[in-house]
Amino acid sequence: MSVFSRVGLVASVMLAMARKKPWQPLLIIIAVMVATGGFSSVMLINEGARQGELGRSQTSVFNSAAIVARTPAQPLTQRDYAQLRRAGFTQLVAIAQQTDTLQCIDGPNSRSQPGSSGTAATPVHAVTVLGVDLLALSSSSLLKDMQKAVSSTTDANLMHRNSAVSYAAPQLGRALACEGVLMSREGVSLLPPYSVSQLPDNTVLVSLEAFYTDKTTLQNTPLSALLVTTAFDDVRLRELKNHLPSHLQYRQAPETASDGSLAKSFQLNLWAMGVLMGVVALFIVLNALTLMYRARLLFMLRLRQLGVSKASLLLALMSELALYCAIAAPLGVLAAIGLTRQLTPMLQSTFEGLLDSAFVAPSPLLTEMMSGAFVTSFAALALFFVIPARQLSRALLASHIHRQPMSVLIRSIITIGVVAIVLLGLVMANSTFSALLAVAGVLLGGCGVILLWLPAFTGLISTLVPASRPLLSYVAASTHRLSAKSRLSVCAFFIALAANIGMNVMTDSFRHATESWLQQRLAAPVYLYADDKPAPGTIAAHIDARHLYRGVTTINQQQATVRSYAADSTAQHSLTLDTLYPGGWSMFAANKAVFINQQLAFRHAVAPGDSLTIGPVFTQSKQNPVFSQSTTYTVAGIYPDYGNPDSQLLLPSDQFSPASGYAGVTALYQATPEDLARLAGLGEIYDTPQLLKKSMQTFDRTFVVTDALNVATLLVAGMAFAVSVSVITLDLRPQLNVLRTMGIGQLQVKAMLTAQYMLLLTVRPPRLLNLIYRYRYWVTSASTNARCR
Amino acid sequence: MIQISDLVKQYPQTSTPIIDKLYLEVADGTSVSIRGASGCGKSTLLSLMAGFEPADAGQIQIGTATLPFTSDKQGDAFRRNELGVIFQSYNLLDCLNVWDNIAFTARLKGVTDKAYLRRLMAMLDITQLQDKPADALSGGEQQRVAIARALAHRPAVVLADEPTGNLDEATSERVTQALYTVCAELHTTLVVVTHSNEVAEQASQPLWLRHGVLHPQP
Repeated sequence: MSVFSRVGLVASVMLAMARKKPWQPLLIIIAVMVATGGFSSVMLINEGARQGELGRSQTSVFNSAAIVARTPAQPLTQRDYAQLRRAGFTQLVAIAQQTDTLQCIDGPNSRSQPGSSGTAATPVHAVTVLGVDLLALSSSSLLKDMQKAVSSTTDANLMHRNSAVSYAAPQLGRALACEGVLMSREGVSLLPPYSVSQLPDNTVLVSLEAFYTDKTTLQNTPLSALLVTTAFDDVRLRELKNHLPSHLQYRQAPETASDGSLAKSFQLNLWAMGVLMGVVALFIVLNALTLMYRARLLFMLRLRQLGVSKASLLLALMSELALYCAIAAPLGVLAAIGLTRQLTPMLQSTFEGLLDSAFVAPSPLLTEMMSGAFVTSFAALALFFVIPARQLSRALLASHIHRQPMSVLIRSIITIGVVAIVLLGLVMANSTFSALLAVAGVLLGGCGVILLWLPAFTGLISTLVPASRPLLSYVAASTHRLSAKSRLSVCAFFIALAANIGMNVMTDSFRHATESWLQQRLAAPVYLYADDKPAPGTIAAHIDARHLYRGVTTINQQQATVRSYAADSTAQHSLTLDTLYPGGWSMFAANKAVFINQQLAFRHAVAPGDSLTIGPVFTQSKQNPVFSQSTTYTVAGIYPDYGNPDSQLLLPSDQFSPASGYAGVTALYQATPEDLARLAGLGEIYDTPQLLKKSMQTFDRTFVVTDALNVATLLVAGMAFAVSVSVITLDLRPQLNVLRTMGIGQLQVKAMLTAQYMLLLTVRPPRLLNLIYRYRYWVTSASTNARCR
Repeated sequence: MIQISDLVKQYPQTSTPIIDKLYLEVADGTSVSIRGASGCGKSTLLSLMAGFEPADAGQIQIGTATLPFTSDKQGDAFRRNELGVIFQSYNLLDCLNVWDNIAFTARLKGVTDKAYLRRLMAMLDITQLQDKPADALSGGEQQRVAIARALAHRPAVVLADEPTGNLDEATSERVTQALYTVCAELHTTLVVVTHSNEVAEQASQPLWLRHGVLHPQP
């Protein structure tokens, strides 16, 4: 008989075994599904964030400033556009947009309306159609990209000469791929779009000529905006504003000063959650494999005794595991894709609203993801299983398998070694990533210690139970036996629990800190948010209005954010300081000193009283200088950064005023409700409780995704623990029957089982609390300090 | 031919060897029965002969195979092709039915002879059980299936550990008869460890194990 036939025979017996005890493959399949699903979803979310950030980081005309109508009642007209361009503002490009549907119509002659017979199966895509004055785009990099896309694509659409050329982002381009033409609901016939990466999501760009049809006219769909393709300097901007008719306004470009640092923190957060889920999944997979290994021990010994070679046994086992991976990995990937799609709207709003970044719904290559997940999960399973399987395949008697328990001395040495390595990792952590690795080391090291000492600990408990209590003795002895079998799943559960509690403690602590900080810093009762600084005289004289300014500067070639701050007693009360230089506030009021945040102090190794030279300060858009010379200040004090990784400093407000750099916010003191009603036309007015509420809602939204992942991880780990305990309990059935024959009631047996699970759970709290404490401490302090170094 | 000389086996934490310079010679196609007190080393001797565990000293020659084996591959091939073992605790593959259990060793060797397997089953009175799952059988039924499996691939040597331990007197007699008959037909050498005088007395060479050595008398 050939080796292959023998392997086939053994594999068929293995599968018969799996059919007989379906929990074995089910545990492994679920574990692999959780692992691949968790990792794949985190990878997809991070890929979406990366693509979004990439898209935002590219200079695009769609992120620029624009001229828009003040109200829909008086829209932007073709005449406005012409007048402004004639006045020399040739950087302006008109756009118009509307929501429409596109459907692929096959064949050059089938110019029928969408939905007609023959096209019923073709999907209909709801998109934003953006008409752009392409002639005015002449100097834009977007136009160059568009021309490049057209020239680099083999034009198979020459037959559709009557259809308009269209452009879309690559992802939408793929979705709209079509051999014929795309028909819109509004009757526009478009060629399938050329791919241009700078374009916004779900938007098809066409020329204005193609945009306006018999149905879509300037009357029913007026121009949406005039985009500013090249930024104006201050003088030119003032001229433009003077030229603007009353019904139009200048809208500033969205700020990108944070450089996506919050998005990066968010991504790091997601990666941390992904790693956590990975570690939990690792323990669950190990647990499933161990349970299967234990359950099949005698079975595989029998096969070996009957002459099955270890190579045949290993190959059959690997084939079986490959089959489970082939089932579980694609399911995990599909679950991850489904989850990511469900989460996409929430992620998009979080990224756009909070992080000033973008999230692009990822469109993964299914085959690539599934094969990657299969290879990774199978390699991991094979790696985990090869050691016990090799050990098993060598043995021919059960007595050779049962290992002698490790001596106390060896366990102690290993424990000391683990603790030393973990401590070394914590001390050596010098970046956020290494800090997270160190935290993972604490958790895994803790689990290692639990694995080593748990059976000994439960054994000790069983010796302490008095023999005069037979049932209690049995509970303790059974717990001791259970502890050896279930310790891996218990580790998974406790890692998830420790992380969950640690994360909640951290979030609560951050939330509390943020709330306290906001309550203190939002000293004014009301704030006015407006694009433009209110002109002198528009705010009544009795109102104490303090405009907030913002700019950027460089200190030793590193960027820092500059903010204005008042020097009066209210402002002094509102600024919490870690350290204050004697006379700091009076020096600040005299424009001789600045307050800096902790990050800046750490990065440049400066303390209160030291001198700090800051370079020229520019407005946020870096177009206009607030002051153009380097200036040396004394550091008046250091204020907490509350986890913000940016270097920041505060300059007295009059350093900015009346020059540019208005941050779009004015703090209003002593304003009556009538005053506020009058000021409503200038912008949006928020009172402090409203702002506080809004900020905290935003804060909570940031943690929704991580909280969801955290809870999911905990649930999965809890389920794995429950399943493994149930599976082990099945093995106890004969013994429980023996107890029943001895006259022990069913209720007592159930109480006994519950007691032993509880005992199993309660032996760990000291270690658990220790882990949580360390986790919280090191994530907060190590990662913050690492950023500061 | 089985030839064992100077065989020694001592378990850790025991003061005396359980097998102590044991000698045994069994001619091809004949049978030997081994009786002795519980814990005297009968099952250990079978385990050493099957190569399940190594001896501390001495040599075992079974046909062309010399134990200890120089490689795992050699041991696997020996067990797969030359040896049939009837385990005291049956060691059936729970997930398979009776037929698949019996045919397993034959399939592994690549010599499935259905007519022979059916005759074997008839001789052991288990034909009606062939589709039953192994874990649904009584102790006696399992024992008979284990005997059939040990003989299914026509081994040169059968090692039987208490083959009738769980059978009633009438069935025991029938199963013993079948075991000896098939072994004689196949010219298979049979080594049977038993407490039953009826089983032991049918062997061509009845022996007793005492103090780690085989004796012809009790």
